[in-house]
Amino acid sequence: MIKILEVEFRKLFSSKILGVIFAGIFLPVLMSWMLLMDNENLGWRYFLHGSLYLFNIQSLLTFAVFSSFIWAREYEENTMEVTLCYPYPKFYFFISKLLLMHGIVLFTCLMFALANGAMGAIVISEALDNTLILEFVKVVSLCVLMHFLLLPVTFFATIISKQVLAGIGLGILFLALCMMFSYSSFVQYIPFCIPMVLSDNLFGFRQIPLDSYSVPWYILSVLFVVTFLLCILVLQRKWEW
Amino acid sequence: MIKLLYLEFLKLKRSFIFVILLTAVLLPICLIVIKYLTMGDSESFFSAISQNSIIISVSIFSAAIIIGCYVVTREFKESTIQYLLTSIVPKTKILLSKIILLFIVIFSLEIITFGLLIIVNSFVGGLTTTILTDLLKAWLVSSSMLFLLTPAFVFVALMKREFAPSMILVLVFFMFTYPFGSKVHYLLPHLIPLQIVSYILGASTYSHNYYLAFCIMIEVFAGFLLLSIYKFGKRE
Repeated sequence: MIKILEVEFRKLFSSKILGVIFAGIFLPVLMSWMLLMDNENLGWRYFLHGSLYLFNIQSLLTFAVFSSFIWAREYEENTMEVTLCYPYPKFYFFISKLLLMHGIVLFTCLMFALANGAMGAIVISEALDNTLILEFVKVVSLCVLMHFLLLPVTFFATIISKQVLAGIGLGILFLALCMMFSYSSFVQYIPFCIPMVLSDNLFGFRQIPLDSYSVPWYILSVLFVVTFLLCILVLQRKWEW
Repeated sequence: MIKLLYLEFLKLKRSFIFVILLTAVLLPICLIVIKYLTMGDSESFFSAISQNSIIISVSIFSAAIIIGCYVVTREFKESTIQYLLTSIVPKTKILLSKIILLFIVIFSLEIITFGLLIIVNSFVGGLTTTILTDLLKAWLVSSSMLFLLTPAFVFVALMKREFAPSMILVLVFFMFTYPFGSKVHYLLPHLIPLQIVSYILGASTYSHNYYLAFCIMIEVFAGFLLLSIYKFGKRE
């Protein structure tokens, strides 16, 4: 398993798709900065909230594109035949890619938090409170988990279609859902909008007050388990269609 | 030329891309209808369209990127480029037939989108002459401007020669430049259609100089068309 993971990391570093991570890190910070730059009394909390909100919406597309690419590239670059020659169970490849994606989500969120601090320090004169840093780090850590729990959905769509287009399509759909229904109360029950709503509530801005804090976690967990099992089942049943 | 165009149509007809393009166009309309249903009686259907005009623009823009990259890269992926290049047809004609095909597809997708919006609006009520004019204006501007952008997508596809990387490259570029769209969009021509459609549909308050916008788009079209012809005609 470790070896497969190592191979996956090597394949990732040889790819130019890494540029998507930088879009995922800097774009929300930049957008938040541009939206709030006219506000003279801009405080840290508002700035962090704005960029976190945009990050959770945009990351749906970023991670969907990324996860579908790392699966579909095996077909696009004709490396799947070679991959299948390794003497490992088929689902090992899926798990290694999922773990790789976890690393990517973690790295993106970490860099996002740092980019926020750096960009905020340029535009905000107010001192950054330690309590706020801790609170922000806590919410970002939970965002890592939330985005990770959504990953098998894109993987499943890509495994079925073998096209990176599936991930891009799903990413755009998730983005559209979040943007269109961002002020509707039922959005808290749509799994792909949960990172946006839950992090917003956890950070103290209750734009859409949650009915319960545990229900979104249950929804995400059930979705993760179901799609994870579906991926394993599809891979066990048929590898090459 | 007609035969080449027909050939391109046949190739497109036999691929999966049509379903994806139709989904990309129909999905935002479905979402707008759902949004309208959740908005309550006080809001009109046109205000739902107006609030979500960016979703419509982005979905058609994405469809244009997908189709633009697909029609070029599939020739390399499926190794049909050798057959095309060994035929007696000039390379420029082959490229032009693809661009004309893109024009027809984008125009059809826009007709479906705005046609459906007009039909739904007339069904739910509140379709006035002003709204109809705005929707038709948005359709014309959006389809012509997106078509003027297609040589740029074709050029990227010719450079990368692979579907996914070229599509992701354009998408990442779009994502990176999108925040600057409302302020310096004349410097970022790919954002001009989105901004102008938003303005026509009442979502944006920034006024636009249509003449200047079209001049920039035509320059972009000519520039990337020449670059694409040069790239496609270059000896390997």
